[in-house]
Amino acid sequence: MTKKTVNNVENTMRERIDVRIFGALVTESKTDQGYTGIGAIQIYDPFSIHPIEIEETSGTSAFSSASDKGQGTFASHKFVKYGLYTGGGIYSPARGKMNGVTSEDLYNFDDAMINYNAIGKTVSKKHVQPIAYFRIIRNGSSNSKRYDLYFDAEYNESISFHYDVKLNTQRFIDKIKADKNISEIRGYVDERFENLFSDIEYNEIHDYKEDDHEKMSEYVVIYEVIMSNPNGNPDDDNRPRLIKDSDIGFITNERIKRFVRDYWEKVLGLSIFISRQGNVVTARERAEQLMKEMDKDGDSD
Amino acid sequence: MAIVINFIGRKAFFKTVNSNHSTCFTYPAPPRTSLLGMIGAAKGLNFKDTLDRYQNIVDIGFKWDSENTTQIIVKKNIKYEGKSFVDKGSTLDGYEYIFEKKGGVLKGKIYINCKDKSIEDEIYNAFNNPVFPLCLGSAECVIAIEEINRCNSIKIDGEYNKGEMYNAPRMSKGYRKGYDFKEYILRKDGLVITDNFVRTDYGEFCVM
Repeated sequence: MTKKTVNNVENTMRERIDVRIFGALVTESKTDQGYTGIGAIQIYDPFSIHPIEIEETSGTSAFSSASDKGQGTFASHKFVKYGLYTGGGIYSPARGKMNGVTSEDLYNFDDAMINYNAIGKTVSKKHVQPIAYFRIIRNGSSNSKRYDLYFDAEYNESISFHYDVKLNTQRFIDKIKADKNISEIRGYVDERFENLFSDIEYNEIHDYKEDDHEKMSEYVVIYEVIMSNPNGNPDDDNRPRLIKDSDIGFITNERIKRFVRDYWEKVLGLSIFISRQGNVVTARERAEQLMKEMDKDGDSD
Repeated sequence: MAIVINFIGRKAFFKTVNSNHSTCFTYPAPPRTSLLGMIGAAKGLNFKDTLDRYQNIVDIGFKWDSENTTQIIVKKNIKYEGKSFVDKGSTLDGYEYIFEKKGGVLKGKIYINCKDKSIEDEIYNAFNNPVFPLCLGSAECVIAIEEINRCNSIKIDGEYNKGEMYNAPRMSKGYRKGYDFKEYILRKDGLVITDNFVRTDYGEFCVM
């Protein structure tokens, strides 16, 4: 058997944490079956729990334009003045087993979801960060409860600052208390919001058990957005995304996965498949790049 | 006897057969193949095994309980399939999703009638303890099941000529081998209408 066969696309892909956790697709070629894997963790799109207000500012850039090296270009920023978004996700142990997910992978996922703001984000995303993050470990099956849909807010007519919105967690807490299948809750809550979650008992989010990957977990995240653009809409001049004909904002799950992948790559130094390093390439070309890297590592051993 | 499943979710995506990598459209309600796939996910089966087992032994109906809209979400993809655009940078791809009209919660009901009591028990237990997370089409559109009820169903004559007509796959003949299509109507109240009405304790449905 040649080395090329040993390092086929499937083995190469499974070596990457983002493929194990989020899944990937590489089309088949003449020599290889390719890879199709559904992620063990599915991220829910975070939605704002109140109407959001979008502000626009513009200014000039000190740098010349790339095309004609002319005068400084005009920059335009669109941002949400203040917003609370709720989202989450679900980890399926059945898919985790198929993808080879380990407890350490899940630990790294929690780490990234809480600390991704440690990476050098752009100005527009400087304050898009979780104020509460829970990992709810449940016995039995992969039956999602969508806890992210159980938050409400009281808000003023105009929402510009944190005191214009009051988060209401009562329905979420009631839902948690009514669920008899919860075996453990781990969480992180920003100290400003601790009193809102004082009715539920949770352990430190970085608690770690060897068999975590064998249990179904559901995630709940509340993001706070202050004067930032959590996810621009390329179809609408990069304004923060909105549900059409409404003032409800949302962030795509791809954006959240990008935060996580960037954290894994830049802070933890892990090798990931969907990387922004280097040129834009097709999924197959990226898989072939990684196969060559693995071959080189094998030669040097 | 039949099963009626009440679910909630945030978005749905039932890819039409004329979609491609860059432009993906959705049916306004799940076609029969998506709902069969949901049974497969609950049982932990792959698509082919699901079709082999359930294609000819279950009747399925569907109803939205929320007022919905569709919206095209444009996303920037940095890894893509195909060779024609290499070295041209990332691509902007459009995906059409179903959302609740005001950005709220999607709600709906799935009706499943089995030809055999043992199959019905099997599906009922599977939805109570699904192997994979249940979703509305795309894997990211995860739903929560609020209630699963067994009920009686009686076949009736119903009015089904009010609504917009769609042509969606009813059955897949096999991977990449083509589909059987069936016309259905999405009535304004969210009910998917075909020519076979049943009345249950939890409302009316049509068999797709």
